[in-house]
Amino acid sequence: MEVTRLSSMILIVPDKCRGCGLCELVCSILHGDGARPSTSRIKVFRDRESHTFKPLVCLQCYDPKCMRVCPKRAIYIDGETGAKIIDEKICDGCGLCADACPFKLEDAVIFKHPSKKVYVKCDMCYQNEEGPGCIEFCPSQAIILKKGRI
Amino acid sequence: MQYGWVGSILLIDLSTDKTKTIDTMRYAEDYIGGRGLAARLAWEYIPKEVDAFDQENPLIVMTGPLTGTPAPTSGRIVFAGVSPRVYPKPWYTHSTMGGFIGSELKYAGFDGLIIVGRSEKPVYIHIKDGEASIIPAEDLWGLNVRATVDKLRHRHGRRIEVACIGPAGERLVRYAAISHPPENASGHSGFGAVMGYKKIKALVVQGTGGINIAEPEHFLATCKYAMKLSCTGSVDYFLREEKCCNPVCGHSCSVNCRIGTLISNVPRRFGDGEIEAYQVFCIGNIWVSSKPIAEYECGELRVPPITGWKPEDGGVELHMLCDDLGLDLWVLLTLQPWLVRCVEIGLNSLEGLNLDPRNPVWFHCLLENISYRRGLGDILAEGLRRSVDRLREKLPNELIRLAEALEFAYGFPAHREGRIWDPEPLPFWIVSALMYATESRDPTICTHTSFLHLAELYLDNKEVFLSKLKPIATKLWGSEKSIEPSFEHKAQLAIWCQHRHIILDCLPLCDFAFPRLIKPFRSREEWLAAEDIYGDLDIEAKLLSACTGIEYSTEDLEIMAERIFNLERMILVEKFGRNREIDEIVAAHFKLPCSTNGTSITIKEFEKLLTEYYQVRGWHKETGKPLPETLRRLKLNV
Repeated sequence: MEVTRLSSMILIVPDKCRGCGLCELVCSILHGDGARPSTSRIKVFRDRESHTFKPLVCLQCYDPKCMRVCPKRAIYIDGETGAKIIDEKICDGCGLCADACPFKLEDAVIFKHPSKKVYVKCDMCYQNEEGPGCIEFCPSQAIILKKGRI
Repeated sequence: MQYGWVGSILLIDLSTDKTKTIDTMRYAEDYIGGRGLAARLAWEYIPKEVDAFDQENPLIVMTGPLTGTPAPTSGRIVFAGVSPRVYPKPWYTHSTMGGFIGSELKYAGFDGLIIVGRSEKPVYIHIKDGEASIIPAEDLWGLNVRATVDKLRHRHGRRIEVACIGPAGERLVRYAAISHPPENASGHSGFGAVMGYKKIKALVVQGTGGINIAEPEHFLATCKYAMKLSCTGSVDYFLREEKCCNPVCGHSCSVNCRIGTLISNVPRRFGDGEIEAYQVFCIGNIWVSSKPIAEYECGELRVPPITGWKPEDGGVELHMLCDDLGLDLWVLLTLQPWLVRCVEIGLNSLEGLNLDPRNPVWFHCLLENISYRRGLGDILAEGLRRSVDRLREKLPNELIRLAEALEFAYGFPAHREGRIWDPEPLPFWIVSALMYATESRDPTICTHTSFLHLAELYLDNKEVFLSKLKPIATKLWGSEKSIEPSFEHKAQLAIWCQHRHIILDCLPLCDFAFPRLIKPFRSREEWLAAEDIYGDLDIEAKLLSACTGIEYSTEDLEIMAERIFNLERMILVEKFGRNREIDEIVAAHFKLPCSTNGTSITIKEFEKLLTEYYQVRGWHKETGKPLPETLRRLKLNV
């Protein structure tokens, strides 16, 4: 597999998030699951009492541990976006990638799809011409695209 | 495959502990969802003349096909049943709220719930991915709203959605809310007391399922278009003061409506620490205000201004206390001025309690006494109109008349009727008046953006408003006379407002953002310069069609709304004896002069207008009952 040096990532500006959850819904629809937050690759953690909202999504690590540990080599890097993508046809659902993820918070970044029984994560909507759906639909610009490494 | 709707409504019988499911699609195409489906189920499940506190009164909880989808502001839910708030006797009505529980209910596999019967002991209903269990709640009974939610989260995990009642609902306070903390409540219709009567402390919902979308790409594009067109919230957006970007009060809301207030780092008046609060309700702003709001005087009727209290004086905490006790905040709008007037005319104590209604500490105690039904609180818990009936012999005539004005419409607080609380001039208040006369509750609280909010633009510059709106008035309501300050051609406009709001309550969408009668304007200059101000009234049909895969036109939705309005009317007429005489009760209120320009209507003129309204509706002009041919035309089999 050719590892490209291309890299971009989805960044969250938590202070701007208003907690509407549109990103989750758009994400699940664009990934063929209908409006279903439980399968969204971006997850909004809401503490409505203290008005804090934290969307969590894969940061597309420069050195992706998930990719290194996958025994099936099911994770590859998309040449155009730099997204680390799980090939659902190859993944056998072992879960090592989720264990290896340094940001494995509440199963938000890499998690087992409740119906497909494979692991899923943000693929930066590499098939969507408009780019990541969460960024396109966020009404308060709390999700932005960062090109290059941080 | 099912699109939009998830396909089943759960019926829970608390008397037998049994559940069964009803196929949503039996009625969904004709009644859509939310308020429409609720009305259809009410027709079947509500017996004649049933009281709110009767185990045969069902509590209906309903979402719509757009709930839980990215359609902007669609995270809403409708409650319906016989309301204990209605004066002089309970009848069927509805109440809506935002939040996240509607979406979660659909992710858990249900479009709605009908809860019948009554439990002997306190319970809560736990719904998780297609399964419902009725769980004992003795340990939760008696807790305030926040404590109830904390305990349930501790038990079921953080990612649950809860709607529950506080002490007010448990003690059947007639304006007890169903609270969905921290930011939402279904308050006005007193369904918290219905939950209390049924001994349901809470509804707990969690779901991992989803909602299928018929045309995903087209739907997302339509949502994006709807977001763009509703970006500024209500029509008078640019006349409101600038506020920061606040948290949303409902799932999928993309709109900056500017009705919320974020308050932080303020020392508490009652207790230690600092206040961190976000208040979404309109009334929140009133209670933390320091300037007097909405004073009204006419002859011997004087409504003292609502004073409100600054955050540091306890204003925010009183708001939070109402939420925590599970009380409808709006009742403060009627109770405080009424009690202040008592003191002003020398009545310094009632039922042994010294009155000090301008004092936040005293008011704090009163709210607790109402919720726990202690002393005077026990009487006021019945609502102002019923309390005044009970105290009638001890009260001077003025206070009786004041109560009648403050809660003039079947015991609901006055709102947007041009007199007590909002300054709508003619032609706006007469549209309100016709709606008040013919609906089951105060209608204006859910009809903000259709027409009533335009009053702000009218007050800002009457000539500009009339010249810009005339083409729209001719096109939509048949004559430009409908927006002129007269009593001519108003029935059509009132009916249009009612229908547009049924559409919103069925899909459902928020009335602070839709319908988009006019485009969003970000500044006064933009508004003044615009030649064509018309927005897009087809958004609702476009969203619904793309989501469900069933082709609906705006005309289809308007006929559906008319069908639902007539069904609600038939429920009131056939099961609760509603007739023309009852409709005319509100007429007396509109004899009072409008606070902005002194306009009013005589009883005789109002009766003439009501007859005109009945004619346009196709109702019997003497009884107010929908005529057989009207029901046939609407394919309403009742």
